[in-house]
Amino acid sequence: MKINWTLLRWQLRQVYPINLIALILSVLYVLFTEELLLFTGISLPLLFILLHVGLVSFMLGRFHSAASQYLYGQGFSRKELWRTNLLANLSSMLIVWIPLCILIYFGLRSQLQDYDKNYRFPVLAPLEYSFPIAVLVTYLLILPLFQYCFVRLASPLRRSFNSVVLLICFLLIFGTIATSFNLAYVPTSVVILAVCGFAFASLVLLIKSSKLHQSMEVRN
Amino acid sequence: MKPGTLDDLATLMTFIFIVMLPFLIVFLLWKVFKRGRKGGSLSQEAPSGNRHTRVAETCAMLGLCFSCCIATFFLSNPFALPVAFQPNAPESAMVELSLTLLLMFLITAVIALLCWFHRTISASILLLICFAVGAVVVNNGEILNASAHQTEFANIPVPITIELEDNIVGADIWFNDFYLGKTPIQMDLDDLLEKLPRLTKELRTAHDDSESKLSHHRQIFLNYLPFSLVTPRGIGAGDFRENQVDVLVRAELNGQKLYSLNQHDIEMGYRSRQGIHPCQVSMAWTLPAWLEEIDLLLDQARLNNYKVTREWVTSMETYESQGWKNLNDRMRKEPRYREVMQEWARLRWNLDTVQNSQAAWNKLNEICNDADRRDYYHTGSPAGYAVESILPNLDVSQLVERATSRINENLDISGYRLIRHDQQYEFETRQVKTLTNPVRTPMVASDFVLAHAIWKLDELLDTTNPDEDNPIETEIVSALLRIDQKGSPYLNLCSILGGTIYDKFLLRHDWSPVSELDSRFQPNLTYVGGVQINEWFYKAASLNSEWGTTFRNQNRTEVLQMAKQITTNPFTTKFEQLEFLFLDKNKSNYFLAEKFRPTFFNQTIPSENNRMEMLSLRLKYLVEMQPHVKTDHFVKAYREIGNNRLYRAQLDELARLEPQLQFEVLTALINTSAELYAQKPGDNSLYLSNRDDLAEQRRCLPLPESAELLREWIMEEVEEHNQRVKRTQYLLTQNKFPDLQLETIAQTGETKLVELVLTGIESQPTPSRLGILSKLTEHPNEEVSAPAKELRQQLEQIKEQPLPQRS
Repeated sequence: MKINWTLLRWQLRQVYPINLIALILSVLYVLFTEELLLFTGISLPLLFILLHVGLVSFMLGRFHSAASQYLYGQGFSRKELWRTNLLANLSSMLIVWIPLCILIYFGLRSQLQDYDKNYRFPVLAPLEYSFPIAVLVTYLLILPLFQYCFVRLASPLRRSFNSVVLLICFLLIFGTIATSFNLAYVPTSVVILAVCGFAFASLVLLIKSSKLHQSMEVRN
Repeated sequence: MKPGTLDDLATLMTFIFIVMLPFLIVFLLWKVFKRGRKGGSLSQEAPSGNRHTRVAETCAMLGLCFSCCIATFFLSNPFALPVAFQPNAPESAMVELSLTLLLMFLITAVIALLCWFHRTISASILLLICFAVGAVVVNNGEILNASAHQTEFANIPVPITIELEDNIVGADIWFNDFYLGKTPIQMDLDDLLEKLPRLTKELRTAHDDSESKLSHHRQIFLNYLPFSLVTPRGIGAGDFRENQVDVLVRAELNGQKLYSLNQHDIEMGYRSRQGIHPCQVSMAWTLPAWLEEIDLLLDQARLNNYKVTREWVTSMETYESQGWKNLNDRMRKEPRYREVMQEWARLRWNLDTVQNSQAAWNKLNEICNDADRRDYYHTGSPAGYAVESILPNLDVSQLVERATSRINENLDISGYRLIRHDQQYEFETRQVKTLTNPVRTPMVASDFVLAHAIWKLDELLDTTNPDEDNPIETEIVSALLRIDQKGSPYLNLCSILGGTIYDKFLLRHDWSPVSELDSRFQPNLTYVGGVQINEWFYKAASLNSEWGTTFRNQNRTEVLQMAKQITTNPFTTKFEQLEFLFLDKNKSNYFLAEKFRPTFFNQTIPSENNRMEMLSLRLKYLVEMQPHVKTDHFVKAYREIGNNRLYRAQLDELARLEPQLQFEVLTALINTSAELYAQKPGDNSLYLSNRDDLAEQRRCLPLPESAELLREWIMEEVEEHNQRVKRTQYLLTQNKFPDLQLETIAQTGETKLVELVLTGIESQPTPSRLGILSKLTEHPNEEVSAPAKELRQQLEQIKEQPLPQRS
């Protein structure tokens, strides 16, 4: 599979401002949050991920915009365009996620908080090591849903609102489980099982969005 | 940034998100509607979603549905899976699990069919409703608790095991005079509670006679054991029984009465969400003959200058824990018995082979395996002494690595029992192991061995290098804090180990006074002496380290204020709660206890009834202050007792003073008694009793002046001379007098007084007293040397007696 870097740069150009703001916000949040960044009760990070993925997908999923019309008229295959769209989404995620990992795994956050005399650091810093993994999993679960939603909205099929309902349903259930249940009291195997259900839904919709993208309408 | 700001932000953002959600939905609807109105889309002519789209959306719904079911049934009831796969799980638990899975399948199928044949929107709404209802209903603990009692475990018997410690099998047991059988006894708890007669007053008094008591070394053992089977706290209203059942136990072995050595409440077995919790009644009983045999063994060890042989150890081991517990008792009064314990540990565990770190590690593993096999460990046992003996050879990093990996298994460390003897801590495994959290690992006996090794090794390393943090203080404390940052068992262990990490952790908390605390920090409050105090401030003030000293110095006013708050009602104050005032006794010029003393001692005593408790607390306070304490302080405290008799415990407190200071204090108090007697000549009996007690304690001090006082007191030609001799004889049998007093009396050469000396030697024939005996045997006066020789012969006979073994 060959990556068309020019096309990827073109796509990313549209989401630069969002990613820049997201990067700054996430870095500031990770550096200056005094509470431990834990897998449980991640309401603010979850909200952030939701907004980031939603905005990036929206920007890249405006298939009726003039920019999309121009792009889709340049002779690129639909597969290549979809692949690049997905890569742009994933790159946006990595723009936020990689600095997060650096700050946490290289101990920069811990050192700063230690300097700020936060009692949790550096002693409790290892408890945060699962946080980047949780963020990555959340990104990967939510991203295909938005991808599918916008492709489905642009597809020549009736009842495209089904995808919106599916998205809302997914987000409500996922959000409730992630924030309401005290996962610290739940065996890991049960958490993995619950994640598997979401992962299955995401994977199916990701594959389907690729298929739908073939027959999608791009017009003003 | 102030703590909690981001919490507020998160709450605000979540609120905005919830408020914005309807707008988002409306916006998306509008987008779809607008798109439909625009017309010209292919979707006008397209089918209502092609087959593949429907398949994909149905599959996605299935995935969502699966996660919903998992969350509803298992995340909200974390015990469901562990219970179903428990070895003693009832069949109904498996049936319930199967029904749950079937229900999950049905819900999933309905949602999938609805999604396939109708619309995704209908399926989504149904799923959301199911999820919401399911989460609310299933997550309700009361419903689950009640259903667990009534359905899952109601027909499963709760077993009760009744056994005697130290492998005493075949003993007959009676509960409230109802014969249960021979140990070990296994029965159904419900069945027992049904048949068990009530403990009546008559039944209780029927056994409470002199025949049922055994006196041994000032301890009274009863041939019955009263205890209560209690329901543990936190089980909830769903439990099925009354909370407490009083039981009076009797036991006999081969027709001989057994005497109880312990008395405590026992957790009753119960049923809960987690399953069946069996009841284990393990009691320590003994026979008078065994106590005498153990005494004989211990006497023989003393007569051999605290040296023991392998055969002696073999004999002592037959008495199991009773042997080393008796030895521990003697050790508290006679420190040289520690040599016996060390020798016992050396011979039992072949400690001579431990010459390097590998051998020490292997030995530690051997002790761990033995503890696991017995399912019991006590720091005061020979195994505990063996652990302490191998510490110098133990590789710290190896021990830390093993302990850290064990703690990182999310170890639940609540199952230990801490015992305080004077200033020394001991701990032992607890018998009841309750599953409190499905993701926490319960402790096993070998974990206690590791904990003991860590604790003592930390002390050892602190002695050799007090200025630097050792790996225990960095690795172990960090690992413990990572499991629980607020749970007291974890923080207590951290405070014992200490180190910079723990100090920093405490001092960085918000330790502002309660009045300045934000309402969000309410959970940080704790009750000390009945007063609400910021827990972090109290803990920081109680730090026994350089950081703690600096903290107390920098916050003197606040610390003294806290001490004042704690002692507002001194009758609810325990001395341990004021220990933070004494931590800088030898470190700082500013000794808080000294500064606080006037405030504390000037507090008025609200009622006459509390006067003695107050005196106890104040005496303890003054004793702890030594050497920064003066005789006048004691006199002032004593004057306040009014017309009351001194307690034995209060005199024992004074006994903790350095002998010379104690002599001065006792003299001052005797003079004060005389003064008080002079002031109130009409009512003098209490003052006289107090004066006599104080004078007696003064005569028992290991000082030449005291010995001289004793000699004068006995030799004085007064009316009550015989009473004095009898009293001295009694005190000698109770080992109250130091050797100096015996030597002084012996030097008088008076026949009657020498008899007293011989009584003292007979009751405690230590090597130094045997020296006095030798001198007496060579005394020119035949009346003195003859009984001395006789005693020596008796002691020789004891020494030569065959080693007894528990039958």
